[in-house]
Amino acid sequence: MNSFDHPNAPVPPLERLLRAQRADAFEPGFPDRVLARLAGRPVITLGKSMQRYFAWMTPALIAAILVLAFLNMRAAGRASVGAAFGLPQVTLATAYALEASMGAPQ
Amino acid sequence: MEDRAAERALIDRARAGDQQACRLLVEQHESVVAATVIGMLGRGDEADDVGQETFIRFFNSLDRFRGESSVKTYVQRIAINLALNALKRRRRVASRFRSFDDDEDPVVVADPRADALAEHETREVSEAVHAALDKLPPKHRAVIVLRMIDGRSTRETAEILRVPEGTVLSRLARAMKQLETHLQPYMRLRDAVSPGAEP
Repeated sequence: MNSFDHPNAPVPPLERLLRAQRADAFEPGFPDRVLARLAGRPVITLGKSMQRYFAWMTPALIAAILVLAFLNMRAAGRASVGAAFGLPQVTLATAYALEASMGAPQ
Repeated sequence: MEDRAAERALIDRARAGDQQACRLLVEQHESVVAATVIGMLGRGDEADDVGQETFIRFFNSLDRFRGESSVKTYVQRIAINLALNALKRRRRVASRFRSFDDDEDPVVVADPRADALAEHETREVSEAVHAALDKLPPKHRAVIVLRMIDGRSTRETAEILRVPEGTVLSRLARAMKQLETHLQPYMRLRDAVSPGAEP
């Protein structure tokens, strides 16, 4: 039981607070959006358009990454993960050279 | 009776694919769907999307609608179920990103001082109410939305949620107690500002 059952009874403060929260409508144009969706016309929202762009761009980005990896490997003359990322090959000589350049004791 | 007959006629037209009838049904029931969905989820794209989905499901199930309950009750049942699903999804996503400490957090309700109320009272109170609603279990929130915000009777609420009336009453009592704890400062403040005022 609450004040909805007794319209003339005083409304307790919590009920008053809650009743005041009743939303009467969605953003303007709601019936149009429903009918557009019902008719099968896609309603483009920001989130959906970003998802669509992501879906379009992902294959192109993957292709670009593969091409760059292939070019890196061809330039390096070896087929390793390091070469795909364009990293220099680590040998004993390069390791010693790096240590020397950092001023480590010989 | 006449209303019911007019409603049946409108449903029949919508079933036959009459767009104007569909529009009228959306316009007639937007208010109840908005009250339900926005009450459950708060305003935003998600609520709008669930609102649209409610009507899409309603139109897609028109062939199964036999008129045992009113269109309002039928649509509201779809709306509350979709909103509960959305809440489950939201909580699933949130739980992936939430640290264990967050579970301990109480509802953050800003200190309501009289001088801060002048311009922002409505928004502040609304935010506080939604923050408090957010802390309720979804099934309790559904009872509050239907019973207290939309003003449905206990029987109607039970019918929409497909639970016994006793369950509605016990969920309502627990939820109201929890809300009262969280919203106590706002209730006192409102009384001080406008004693006995109706919304």
